[in-house]
Amino acid sequence: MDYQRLLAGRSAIVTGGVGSVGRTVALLYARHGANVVVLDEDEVEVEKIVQELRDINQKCSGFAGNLRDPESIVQLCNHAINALGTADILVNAAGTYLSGDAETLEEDDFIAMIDWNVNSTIRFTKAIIPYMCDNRQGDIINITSDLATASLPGTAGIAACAGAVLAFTRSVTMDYIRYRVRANCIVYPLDGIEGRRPLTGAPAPEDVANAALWYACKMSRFIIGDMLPVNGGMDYFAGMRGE
Amino acid sequence: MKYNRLLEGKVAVITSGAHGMGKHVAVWYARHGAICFINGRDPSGVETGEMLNEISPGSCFIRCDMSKREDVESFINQVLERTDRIDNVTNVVGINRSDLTDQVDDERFEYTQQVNLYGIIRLARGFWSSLKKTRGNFILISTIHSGATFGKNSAYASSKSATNAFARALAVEGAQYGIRANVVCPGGIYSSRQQEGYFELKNDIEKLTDIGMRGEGGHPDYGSGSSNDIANACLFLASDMAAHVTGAAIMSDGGATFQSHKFRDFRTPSDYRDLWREFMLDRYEL
Repeated sequence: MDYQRLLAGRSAIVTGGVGSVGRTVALLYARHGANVVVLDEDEVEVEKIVQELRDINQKCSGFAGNLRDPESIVQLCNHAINALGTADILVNAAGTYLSGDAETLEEDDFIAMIDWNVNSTIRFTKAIIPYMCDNRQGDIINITSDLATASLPGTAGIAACAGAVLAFTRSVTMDYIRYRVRANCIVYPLDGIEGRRPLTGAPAPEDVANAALWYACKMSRFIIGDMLPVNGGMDYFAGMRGE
Repeated sequence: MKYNRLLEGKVAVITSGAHGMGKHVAVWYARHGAICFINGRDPSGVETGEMLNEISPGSCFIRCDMSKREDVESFINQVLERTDRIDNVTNVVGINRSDLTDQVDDERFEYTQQVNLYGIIRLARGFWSSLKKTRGNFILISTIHSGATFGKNSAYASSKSATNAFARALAVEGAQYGIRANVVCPGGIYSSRQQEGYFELKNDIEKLTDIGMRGEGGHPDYGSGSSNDIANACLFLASDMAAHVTGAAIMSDGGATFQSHKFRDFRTPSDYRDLWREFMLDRYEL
């Protein structure tokens, strides 16, 4: 195994490729030899990250479209497949966080969060998985909040979304591992959530990207349907979250 | 980060590193630049020590019976005499002398705990101050039995559950010093100790394919794993790739534990055989 180029020649699609985690994953994948397509909403920002990616690997590209719309997602996936020829890796890094508890969370905010975090993950997976099944290989990495496993005040929406993504990851593995399509989940503390006191300091986007690299390459090939917390072990401090 | 030299300039201690899974872990670490101190009960481990010394000069084998306190203490002293830094302690040693609980006497229970749990506690105490200086990390090899289990495993499963809990405690206590502690839980792994032999298996690819297609130990559609898989998990956790991963338990089990029931009547389609052959060859690549 060439550890310098862990993804040599593989085709990767990164959703939410403009966000800090998404773009770091895309750049790290490109440095490891992958042909990367980033998908996100902001055309100007997508163009910027594509320029950066092309400095590393000419075969990278990016497309912009509405990530809350099912048809637009299918279209984005078609563009991605046309550009790459196939898809070996799908990283679902798109997502958003809006605060509120069960009472105060606005209906629109909640729907938006479900669309961004959960529906986009399911829709992209649905669109890309046939190509992976045809290739008899594929690696899906879903990146979400670590509130999937333990809670904080005022985070009802994102916690529900993260839990859904985690459960969806396991279910996808169950159905498609016979085609050698693996799915794993990375959970980390999202920016902007009050009271986060990670014990090893706040993880940088690079830390999440390294986890995404490990799940995408052969180093983790016996690990499926699993969850990796990149959060300095916060979940293990009983009753000591927050302050 | 240099991904082909993930442990450059580091020093690692690997228990039971002379054979099987531990040997793989040590070879992986050494290839990535770490000086490895391995131990084992059997003096034949000297050969593995010499092999590691060729890959990463300074590595060596030290004889030690992990079930004996004096042996573990003497091992720790011998390591600390030879090096002034320790970056990683990987505990691979473990035994499983299974039987029904009413058939297992106190002595056997105690022996299991001595090897699987007390060994780790003694190591952690012995290397704690060294790891504080380097902001190093612990990796404890546990098992899927630490969470779910089946019959005739009470002594083993209880000692390994305790291992996971101990790792979480180390993660909590070590955080302020930058010490990380993680667990790898292997599922069905065919290591040289469990099967007829890793290298022999590799020569009989049809047999290897059969093992894969039987799907023992993992998800029925994914088969069993190899020591390489565990070595790669340890390498990830030992390196800066996992700088913010602590207190975690990585289930390297091919999906054996996340299914709610073993529901599928497993029959691999025969046209899958070519795919499996390729897959298993790839898995056992050294």
